[in-house]
Amino acid sequence: MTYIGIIITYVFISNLVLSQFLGLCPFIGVSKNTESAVGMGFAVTFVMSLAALITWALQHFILIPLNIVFLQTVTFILVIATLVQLVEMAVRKYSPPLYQALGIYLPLITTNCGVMGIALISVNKSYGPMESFIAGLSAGAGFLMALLFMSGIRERLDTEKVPKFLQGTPIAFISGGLMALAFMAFDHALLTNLIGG
Amino acid sequence: MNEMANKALRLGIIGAVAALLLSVVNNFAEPVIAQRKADELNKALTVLASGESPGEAESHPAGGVKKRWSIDGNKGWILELEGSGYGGPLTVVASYNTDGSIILARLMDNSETVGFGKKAENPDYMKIFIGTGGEKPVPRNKNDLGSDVDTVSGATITFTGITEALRDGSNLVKEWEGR
Amino acid sequence: MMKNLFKGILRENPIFVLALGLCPSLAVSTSVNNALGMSAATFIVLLGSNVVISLLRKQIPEDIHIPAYIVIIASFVTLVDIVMQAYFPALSKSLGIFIPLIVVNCIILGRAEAFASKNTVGASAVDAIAMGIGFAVGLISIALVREILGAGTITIFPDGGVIRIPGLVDKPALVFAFPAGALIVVGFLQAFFRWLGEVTNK
Repeated sequence: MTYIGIIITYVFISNLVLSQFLGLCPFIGVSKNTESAVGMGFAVTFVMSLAALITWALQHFILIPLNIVFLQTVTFILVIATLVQLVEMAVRKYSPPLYQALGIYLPLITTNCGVMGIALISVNKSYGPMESFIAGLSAGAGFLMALLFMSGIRERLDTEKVPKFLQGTPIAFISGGLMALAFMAFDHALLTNLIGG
Repeated sequence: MNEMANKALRLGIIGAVAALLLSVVNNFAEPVIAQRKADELNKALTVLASGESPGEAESHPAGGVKKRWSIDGNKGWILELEGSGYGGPLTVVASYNTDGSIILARLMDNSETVGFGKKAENPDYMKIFIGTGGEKPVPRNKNDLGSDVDTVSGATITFTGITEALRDGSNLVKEWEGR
Repeated sequence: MMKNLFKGILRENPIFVLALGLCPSLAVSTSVNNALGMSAATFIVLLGSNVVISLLRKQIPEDIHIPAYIVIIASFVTLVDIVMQAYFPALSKSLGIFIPLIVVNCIILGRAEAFASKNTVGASAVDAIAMGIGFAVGLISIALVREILGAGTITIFPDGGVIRIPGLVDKPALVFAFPAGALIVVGFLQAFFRWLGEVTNK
């Protein structure tokens, strides 16, 4: 697939949160206000693009040559956890303002299903290194976008009267569902029409 | 520093034990998995050859074809075809008459979405392709299906992947048979 | 002990009350049999990792908790994945990449950190069983609603164990089979479980 195709696919059509349910925990947990949503979104985008690229290298230079693909899950999650740690240390050292903004979200990213998800998807679809990187980057951008929309909706919901049992997460899920409904308009037919398959 | 080394050692031991354990389990399970895949293919081949027995497998007779078998008495061919679906590569096995028309087809290995593309594993899904490829062309997109379109509802990319693989197979059969 | 079990199923149901562990699981909630398979796989991983982690709780220093736990959890996930591929091929095929994704299911690391790292093996096992059952109840109810409304069927075994609901099977509300429908179902079920929790508390 072309790079443009990959970008459109992961930002709109197969948006990780809205069509694959990956990264739902932060989608519900960190979307209460716009500021933290943006912070989390950028941190995730950063980690996703690096993770997709590094897991590609791991798969092709270590796991396949050594015939230990069965250790894929273990090594991928370890790489992601280490990466998150390294990113946290680097950001703290070289850019204190950025750390101030992203710091508290970084440790949460290890268990963001989206990071592991996009790594596994890239390997499954036999993407090359550049394609994996772009897939990670666009998946992160799609996540950022979904999170941003959601936080906008939830900030407004705060001032509305919501039935007692629906307050908090239930109404957030339902709003997310309605948003996903709107995103169903983006499908593969659109991609085919735009860039000819 | 000593403390660091101690922690690293503990982590290392956990990792080593885990890797060892998994490789033992994998050693046991790998042949079982390989055997199961072979059985599955054989089962599909018996169905596809519809009563006849398939000949020896021939690897990579053409691009996009992993294997081909000749059906006894030169009645046709069975092909293991590679296609690309929504979740990545997919494998279709199909039997063809000598005129390139499809006798039967099955979706084998794939990473399609549960509940959508995966539905193509159901043998009924492939009914829409039976008999096409000869006089009647293999459907190119969903609009060619007419009233059968409900069978393949959803999962356009899966459908396209399968139909393209089947069409390529049909064209190859025609080429080999000189038609 | 019964009280602890009950807690996991209703009052602290991981899916509905804590909203945990949805990420890799929702995608397989399009049919009941897949939800059953996913619940079983998650249950085994949860129980195994909780027990091992509480066994090793004195050997693992605080600041290497996360990497050590991740390795243990990932090993159990791989174990389940391999065994499933070898002996339950149909299930393994339909769950696909969502089996390795159990590793990032927030419930498992969450219970390891919040419970197994501080408690005895027995208590951790009970906690895992309670949370595992709660997770199964949650996921299966989602799948039940989605499959009945979205496909008009209840699939217990893919071959021969399919209940068809007259009237719905011909004209199902397809939207429930799509992700959008899943999120809406989760929202309403969550509200329902809250209501249930309140009613049974009185």
